[in-house]
Amino acid sequence: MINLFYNELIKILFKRRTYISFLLIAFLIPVIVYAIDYGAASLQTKIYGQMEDSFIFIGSIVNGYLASYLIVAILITHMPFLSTIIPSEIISGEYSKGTFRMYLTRHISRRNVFISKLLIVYLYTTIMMFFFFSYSLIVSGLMIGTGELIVFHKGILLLSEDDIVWRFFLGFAFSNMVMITVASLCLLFSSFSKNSVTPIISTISIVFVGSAVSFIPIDVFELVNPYLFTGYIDIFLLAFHYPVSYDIFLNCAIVCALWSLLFIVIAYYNFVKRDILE
Amino acid sequence: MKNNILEFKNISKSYDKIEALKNISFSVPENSIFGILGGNGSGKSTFMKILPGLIYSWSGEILYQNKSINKDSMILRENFGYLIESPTFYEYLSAKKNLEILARISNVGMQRIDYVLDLVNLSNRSSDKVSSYSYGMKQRLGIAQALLHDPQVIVLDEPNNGLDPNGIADMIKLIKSLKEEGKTICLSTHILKDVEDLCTDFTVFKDGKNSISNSMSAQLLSSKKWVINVSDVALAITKIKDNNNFKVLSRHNNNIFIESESLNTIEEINKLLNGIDIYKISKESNLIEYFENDKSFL
Repeated sequence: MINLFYNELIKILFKRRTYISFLLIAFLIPVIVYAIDYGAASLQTKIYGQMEDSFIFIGSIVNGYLASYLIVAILITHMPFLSTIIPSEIISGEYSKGTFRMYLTRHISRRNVFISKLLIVYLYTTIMMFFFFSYSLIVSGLMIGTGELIVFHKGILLLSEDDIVWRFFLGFAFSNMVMITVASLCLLFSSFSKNSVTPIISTISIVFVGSAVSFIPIDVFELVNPYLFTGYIDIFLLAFHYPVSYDIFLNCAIVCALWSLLFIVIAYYNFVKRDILE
Repeated sequence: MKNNILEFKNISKSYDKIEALKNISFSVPENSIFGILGGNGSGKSTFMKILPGLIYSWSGEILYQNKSINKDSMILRENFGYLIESPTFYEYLSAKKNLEILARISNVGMQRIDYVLDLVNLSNRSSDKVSSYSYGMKQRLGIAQALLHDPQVIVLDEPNNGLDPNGIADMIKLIKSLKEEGKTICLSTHILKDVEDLCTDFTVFKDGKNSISNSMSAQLLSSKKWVINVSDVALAITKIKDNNNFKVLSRHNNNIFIESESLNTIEEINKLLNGIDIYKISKESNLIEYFENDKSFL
């Protein structure tokens, strides 16, 4: 099993597409942080709004934490796309290029091959998400410093400096669960597909429809939304509420685990029983 | 009489409504070079994919060393080396890296990689990415990966595909040397000449069915007819007629067609026709004659 895992690691490490997400994040975040810093005065005015009539603000509320919060809040909805880059190809790519004809004729079981691929997908997603959160915090902190974080929850909520980092970790942990579910869905499509484009399109379409369900305020949609993993894509924001609604995080964990399990079981059976004709 | 290392009983496979294989039955003798001869769409490749478990749903029975093998069995992967259809590799990796990946899951030491690369004359290009390889080089690398774990049975799907004449000669030499090492080689081809030159036994696939029994294949391959191309035909015929092991059947231009009872025809003819220039001595198989009425195989 360790050898299979190591093989999968070698396969993705030598592929250029593995680094697309990291390069994109590495480039985009400093640019956004710079833009936030550059437009700090205008941003501050927009946040204060009419409150300046009632309160006196001393100093600036635009700091690294606020920049990270804004960056994650904005980009988190795009992370499902980056989460599909590796799982979309990890099975379908080997079908289409015919490498399974060589790999699966060795003294190994398909079950173990599937598990090794699944572990790699989860590892990649987690590392990518961790990089996204930590890089955004580090770059923002280094570029514009740290301070208190002001967010909107039942009005204005001011979080002290020592009450922020753990919330980012909480947000990371649960956002990662959602992205792992997206990656599992993509892996499912990958096990059926003969190319890597179809799994990406199919997964993103489902995420798109699911997100639409979350945002459209119709009774039926509001009823089903808690049971859809797509309803938790922006769960990161809930980590910055006071008090934190842990029951929603628990729901998120259960829903994501159940959907992931369903996707993996179907993908597994398809992978194990499928005739390799390509 | 040789033992059968492999036996196939009523192997069938359907894709939706198409019957790709219909009750295929034959046995492969131990230490043989067994040919599966058939045209395009005859079911050869489908059959080849059943052995390593690439095709999951099929019916029938496979016996390896007289023991029935179930579909999930690892025996047919542990003791077998495969090159199925065209050779496929991780093109963005070097040949050596590709073989390292396979060695890691085949419990093979890394020194074996150098050995098999050397065997197929790819040592000097082992660090190059596979994407830079020609088709012939990939085919040779395909053979190397099939031999990596030193399997008892080697299954090769059209091994001469894409090889130049030198490559084909090397491949024939390699396959014969593997037989001499005691291996059993099972190869598919649509070229009669491959069967003539290499195989000790064969079966024929057509429309998903197989024909020609083991005894018949041996008979067809054990031709006694030879053709000799010489400079002085008249003198050669006189000399051949004086030898009891040979019978002159006919002549055409500089070719003499003979029947030989000798066990070492080439050596004996060379001795017998000493002083006459011999341009070619080759065996005339019965195969062409047999398939004369069925051009789809030719």
